[in-house]
Amino acid sequence: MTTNRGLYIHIPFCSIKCAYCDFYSVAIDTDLVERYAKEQKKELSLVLSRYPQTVIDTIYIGGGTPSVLPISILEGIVGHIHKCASVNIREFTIEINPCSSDNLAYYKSLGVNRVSIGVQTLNPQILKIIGRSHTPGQALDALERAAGIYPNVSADLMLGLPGQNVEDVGCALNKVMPFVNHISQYMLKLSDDTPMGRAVNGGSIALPDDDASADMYDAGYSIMRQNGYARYEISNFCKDKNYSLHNLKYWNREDYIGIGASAHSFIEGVRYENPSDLTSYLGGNHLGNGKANSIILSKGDALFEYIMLKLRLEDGFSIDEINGLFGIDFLARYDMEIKSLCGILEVSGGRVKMKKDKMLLESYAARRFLPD
Amino acid sequence: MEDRQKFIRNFCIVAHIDHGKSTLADRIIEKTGAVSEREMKSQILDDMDIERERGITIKLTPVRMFYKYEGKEYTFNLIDTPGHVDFTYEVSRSLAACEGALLVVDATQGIEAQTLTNVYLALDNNLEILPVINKIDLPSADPEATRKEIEDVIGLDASEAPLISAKEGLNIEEVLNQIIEKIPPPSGNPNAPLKALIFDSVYDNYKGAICNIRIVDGSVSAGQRIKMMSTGKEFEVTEVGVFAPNMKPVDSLSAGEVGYIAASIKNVKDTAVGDTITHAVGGAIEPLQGYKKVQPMVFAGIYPADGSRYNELRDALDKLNLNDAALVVEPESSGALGFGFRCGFLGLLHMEIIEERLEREFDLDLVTTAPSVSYKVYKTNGEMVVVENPSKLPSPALIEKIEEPMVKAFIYTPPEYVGAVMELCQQKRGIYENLTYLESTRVKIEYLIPLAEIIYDFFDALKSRSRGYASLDYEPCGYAEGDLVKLDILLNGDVCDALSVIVHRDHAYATGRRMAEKLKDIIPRQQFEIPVQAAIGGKVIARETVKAVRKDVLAKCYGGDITRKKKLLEKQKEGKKRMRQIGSVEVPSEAFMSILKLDDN
Repeated sequence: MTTNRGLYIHIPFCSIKCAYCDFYSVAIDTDLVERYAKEQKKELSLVLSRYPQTVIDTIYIGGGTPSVLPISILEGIVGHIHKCASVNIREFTIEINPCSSDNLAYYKSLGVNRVSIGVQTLNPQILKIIGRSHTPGQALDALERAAGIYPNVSADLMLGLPGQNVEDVGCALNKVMPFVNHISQYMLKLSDDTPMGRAVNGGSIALPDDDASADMYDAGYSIMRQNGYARYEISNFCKDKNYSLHNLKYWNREDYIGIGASAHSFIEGVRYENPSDLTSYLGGNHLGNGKANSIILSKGDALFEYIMLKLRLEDGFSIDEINGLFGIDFLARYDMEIKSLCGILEVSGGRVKMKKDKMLLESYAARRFLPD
Repeated sequence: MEDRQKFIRNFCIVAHIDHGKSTLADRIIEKTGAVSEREMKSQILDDMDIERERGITIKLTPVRMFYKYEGKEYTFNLIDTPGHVDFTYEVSRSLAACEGALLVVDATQGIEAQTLTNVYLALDNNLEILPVINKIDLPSADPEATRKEIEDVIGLDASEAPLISAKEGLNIEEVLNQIIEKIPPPSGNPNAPLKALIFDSVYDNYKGAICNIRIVDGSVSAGQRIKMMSTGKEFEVTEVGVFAPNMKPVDSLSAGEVGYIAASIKNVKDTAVGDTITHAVGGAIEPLQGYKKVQPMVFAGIYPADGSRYNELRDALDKLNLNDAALVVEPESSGALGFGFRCGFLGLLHMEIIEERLEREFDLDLVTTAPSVSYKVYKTNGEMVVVENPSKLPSPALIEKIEEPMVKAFIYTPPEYVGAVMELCQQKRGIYENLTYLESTRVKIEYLIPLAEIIYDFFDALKSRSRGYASLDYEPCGYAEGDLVKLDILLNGDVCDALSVIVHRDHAYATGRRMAEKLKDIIPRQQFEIPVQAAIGGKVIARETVKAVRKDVLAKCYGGDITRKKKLLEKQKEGKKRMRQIGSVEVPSEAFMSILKLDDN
């Protein structure tokens, strides 16, 4: 018997780090990149030998900035996947930064069929403030080239940036939409230990307030809807059901293997996290060697995760499914929570979901379901 | 007087809050070697964490020391005093246990208002006052001006006042020498019938309630039967001792000495501060002067934030009650807050201290309602009920009249603030009684004011209108009829009983409007729009709206880091634990105290 699993490859290298980013990444260095790729290959072999029934059906190369990798390194990694894994690729995505998009066309030869381009905004001042090194022109150029090569192109756009307003959001969407069939429109969530987080706390940068950010989201959603993009997750919109299959695995609690420093895996109901430290990772502390931090979920944890993740989806979840999976009577067990959330939660047609205009209150709803 | 008594000095220290009282006490204790350096922690007299943090003294902790002067060994008893109006009575009793007081004045600040109340209390108790000028090590110190101010404002001779730095340990010996030279030794007849003044009592798990006492006449030792003169209750003494600084048993205590008596007393309420202890047989006929039964003045509901911890709260209050006879506790219940307790306190500081101790020492999360006073409500059927909880006020149709407790307020202020102070008193429904010039720079103003007005924000307003110079003291002064109404707060259309307050009819509109505004800011935005209304007898007089929340979402979980997302939600939920669910509305616990934080404009 085989199990389909997603494969995430984390590339923790960037040529510069964005002011808002708290993902794990370090400056690019040729020697380090080679040693890292080698360790990743080793990790992948070991993980797959531990779960031999795995069939890889989605690949997502993310970062960091995967597009800063030399093409030979990427070829080596992808070649290794094909060598040691059973693959039946439905989707193969790579993240592209507009300022390192020279190899855009090459990725097709590796089997890539979807690219995700980090546009963030097309307002040049805001791009500078948030520490992105590309211009709006470079982003549009990358999008246009990508659209000529790949069947699936996605753009990442951010909301709630310093100085941003509803017009900026509409303007960026209108320029981006001709080239993409998928858009991630997500809210900036700053952590305190980023340069921008410190600037905001110190008062030198002001962010739009929650109402202004919500206005931007609503305006963006409305434009996308008018142009045929349907929302399928809080921050994700696509034309003609061109969902991100790999990301859907996260929200649907399907298995995925994450390879690389700080990568996360979810295999047979257990979550694993590799260390967020390159030295430690290169020293062999990873899932391949059984040295990832593992989190075994209790039934209550799993149930909460299910609710929290599924509420992000436009269609929520089926009551029959949750009852069957966890052996519960959802409506009886959460009677109080459901009643207390009646303004934002919709229970109808055997499904539970966020009301259409209350998607941005997903955390508000999810917290109510947290076990004590 | 016996020879023994000549070598005893009983004194306290009077000072403004940060003029260095505790630091000087520390230095004196160090110099006399009462505590080894290893045991010495800063501000040793302030036992509780709260006291050390706030730099205030709540509980009186005496300490005994020895000091050699001109070849003779002297015994010093230092009795610390609390410095807040809530505890004026306790202060007056500890002053009554002394013959002298050190008046510590900060050479950079000069005399401040708060000092004066206690100085006058000390003068009332015929204490010898020894001025000490502190902080002379600071560049901005002006010792000569301070000396002059002491002479002008209080009328004390300060020409010989020691110039010290308690922090640097400078000239402390000068202070010690003057204590011997200037403070008289205790008088009193060791052979007369026993009279011991209780100036504090504490509960010890092994010894029961312990009386901290000053022996005025006679002597006492273990095995004797004693009697509390206010109640006539009798006990057998199991131990007498001194504070060195921890309790140390001795054979006997006699006239002039300070120490403690343990007598297997189960309830701290039997050891009332100010009471006189004598022998059960052949005891004194007349008690010492000044005994007052301490009455709670301020009442508030205390509830566990988590209703399932009601029993823990009850046990914690029981334990605090053992140590604090002034705390009164009665179970009650609220529609909004569930099961809890109506507690009576001496004043607002006392209330804050109890809350803080419950939270720190017993790890309880509390919801406390706005403080109230005790009203006498005369009903149309001739019945009188005492109402300590505003939500329990009978319907207006059933009320003939309401009487509220009054206090006589004594306000001491420099003359330039007399106008501002009197204006404040008028606003607070005060009735003018008297105005006396004590000195050219000091005026005493007397007003009759409803206690309810004092407990909300009077003290802060007084300080701000007098730039901190005015000081307040008050004593209960019966009841008076008032045109009072119950102000209700409706959240999402439902009355929240825990937010009801009783106010004067003329102030009801303004208070209602400000409460609604304040609550609008305190209550976080929720899934629905929440109307916040203030109403009197069903008639809405003010309305504000808490807008519905629009955004509460975490960023995408790309890379599949689900664990972090869950942790973030858990952290957020933890932050919301101090919220109370009232009907469909989540209300933060500080909302119930919002009446105390209404801006004056």
